[in-house]
Amino acid sequence: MAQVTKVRLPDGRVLTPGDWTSAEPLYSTIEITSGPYTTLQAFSYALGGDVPGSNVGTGSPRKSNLADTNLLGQGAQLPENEELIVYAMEVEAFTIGNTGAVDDGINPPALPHVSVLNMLRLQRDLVLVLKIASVKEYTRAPLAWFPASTGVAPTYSVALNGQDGFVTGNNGSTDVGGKRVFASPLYVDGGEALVVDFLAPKGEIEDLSVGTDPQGRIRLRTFLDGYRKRPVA
Amino acid sequence: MAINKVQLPDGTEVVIDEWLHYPLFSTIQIGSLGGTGDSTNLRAFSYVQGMRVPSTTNVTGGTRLADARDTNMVKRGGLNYDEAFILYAITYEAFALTPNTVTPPVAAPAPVLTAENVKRLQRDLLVELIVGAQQQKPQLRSPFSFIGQSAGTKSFASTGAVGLGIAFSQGTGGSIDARNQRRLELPIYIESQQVAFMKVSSPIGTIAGLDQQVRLRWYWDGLKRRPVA
Repeated sequence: MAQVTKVRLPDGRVLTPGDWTSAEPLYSTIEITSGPYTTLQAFSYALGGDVPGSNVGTGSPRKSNLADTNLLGQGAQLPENEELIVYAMEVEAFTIGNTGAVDDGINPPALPHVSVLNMLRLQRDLVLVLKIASVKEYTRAPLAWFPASTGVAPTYSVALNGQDGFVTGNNGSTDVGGKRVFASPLYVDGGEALVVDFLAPKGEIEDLSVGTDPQGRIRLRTFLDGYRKRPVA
Repeated sequence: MAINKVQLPDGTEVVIDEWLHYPLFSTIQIGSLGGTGDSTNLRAFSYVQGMRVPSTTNVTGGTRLADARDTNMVKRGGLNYDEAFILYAITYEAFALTPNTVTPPVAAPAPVLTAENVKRLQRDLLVELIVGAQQQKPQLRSPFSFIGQSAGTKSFASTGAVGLGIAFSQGTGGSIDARNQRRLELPIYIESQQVAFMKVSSPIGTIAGLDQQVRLRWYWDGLKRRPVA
């Protein structure tokens, strides 16, 4: 297997991977529910911090755990003793809370699947902005531009009564190879600010259906995939 | 591996420095009435946020003002003086604005677009990329079907009907996958301040059978030279 020993950045700098790994992406979670929406930021908190959006409807935010994020430090920045070269950004979705009601005549799928209707609504209304060093946008595009490349390709048998059909959605391909790779990788230095804004220019995800459970919401987990320099013990 | 040089068809070498993989996107809307899609002649990438989204006659509610979901262009119909773009691929995503009306036993609530309507668009729409002022020669011209849809929802249906005798229908332009976009073997370079837009038309006139109103968000995938502060 080929060993990468050097990476040349767009500005000509050459990085020599030393204590680098490609096996551990940096990831962060936000949660979205129906109704008025204010901008939520992935990577704005560190492990143990409050998950953005998790307080809506419940009053108190949920403390993050390792399933939500592996960002350490104070949040909204890469720790001083880490570096990151981002080759791809991927966003996956889960429905949490309850299964919800019949949505526009279509039965909701079982948890934690996301219905195709909700996935399309999220893709239609969400715009993502990756910011590094809080100065400039490094990319801006609607949600679907950053396919999950994770998920389930389910197989169902025939429903017993023939009328319980439902349709699940996924943010893009479920195939690992289906991620969108940046033609020009992005470098994040230790200590640099780092967030991904989830904007909803309309002020809501129109018609998002998450049932009547106050916990009902869509959980979006964002991966920054690439080479990561971890702390040296 | 990092790309740090791109050779253009005319031999020019572009060294990537302040360049980022930063797609440009722009939305248009096609209306329908009574099971027939509007005759279409629209220009994507021809407006900025706050201007009207190009729409045909029968879009419900008429035209609307564009917001950040619709486009990230900062200059109408071209690139700003501090930008340039190397276009590698074109793709799109599609949303229905209305449910389907005349094709039972198939159901597709908005924003789901039926497979039949995607096929109708593929049959009748023509896409042209124009680069340069008063330019009559398109840099790209092809039927809509030639351009794959790489952004969208992968969906999986259970086998039960969603209503009595009603099946669910959703269509996408090929398999949803980041690789499913027609990549240009020879990238197209759009210079600073150069006029550039995309014409989407239906040369045949109205789009027979189109029973949903459609929002098409077009993407130019490529490298963009960003403003240097």
